Amino acid sequence: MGHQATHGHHPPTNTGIDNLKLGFWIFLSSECVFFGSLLVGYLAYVNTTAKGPTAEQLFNVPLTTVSSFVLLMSSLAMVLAVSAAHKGEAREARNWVLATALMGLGFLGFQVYEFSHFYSLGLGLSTSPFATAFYTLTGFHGAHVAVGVIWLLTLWWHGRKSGFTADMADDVEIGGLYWHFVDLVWVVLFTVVYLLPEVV
Amino acid sequence: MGQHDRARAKDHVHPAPDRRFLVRVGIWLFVITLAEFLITYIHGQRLIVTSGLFALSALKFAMVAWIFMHLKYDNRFLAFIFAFGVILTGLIVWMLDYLH
Repeated sequence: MGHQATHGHHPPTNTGIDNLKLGFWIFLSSECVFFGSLLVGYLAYVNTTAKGPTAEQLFNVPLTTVSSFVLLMSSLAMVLAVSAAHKGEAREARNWVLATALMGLGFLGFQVYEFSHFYSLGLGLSTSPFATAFYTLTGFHGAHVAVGVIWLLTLWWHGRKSGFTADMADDVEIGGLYWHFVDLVWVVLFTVVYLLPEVV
Repeated sequence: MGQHDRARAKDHVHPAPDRRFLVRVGIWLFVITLAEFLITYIHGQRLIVTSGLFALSALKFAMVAWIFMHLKYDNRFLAFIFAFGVILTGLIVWMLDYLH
């Protein structure tokens, strides 16, 4: 009954799982394949620099590590938002959602700086296959982060009068799934794109 | 317990974690990221360092998916769906990289 107090009613389903949540997990599963294919393209062309700048010459790993921290902590803020929303702590949930969105904006700021810095060092989108693959892979991730920030700010705006009510808890949870997925993709990209070239 | 509650209850098989646990997980993610960064400064042991990087990355991935995304606490079918996508992606990356 306590559970019902914090969640909206859902019609019974064949699987016993809320259809929105089930559908969203299927979507996230397909997004894995999408990013995997972009990653393969990057790995195929990482050494095809066509006399342009290379990863070793460009990447500022300490700075990227800081941006990774920011995105990870935004994931923590998001899970705290979901936790608060499920507990019916409306205002607290809304505050954590805003914190998540602001940290997401911070991460995007790092990405914008990085892209503009690389461009100033001679890495344009069509400089080399490596450049195209790098900008495509990290650019699509950045676009996903941007969509997530817009989503979270929209959620935050919707709850401006009385915070997140009980029937919004599921919306916060779905938003949280998307945000954590974006963070998961970065966990992989940070290691494969930025850290491995330092080692291999 | 009504039909709606039964459907909802199947979503959440176990109670969700408390906030202190979530913050501890967040701190561990921070520590693991720091370890990943520092490990790149180890010179010479390429195989060990590379394996260590992949292991740490996989650990972070699992922690975020299992705890933050609530797979640990939700219906196991959701974990199966996501795992299917991750495994398929891994196979695609391996096959295309291998063929290339």
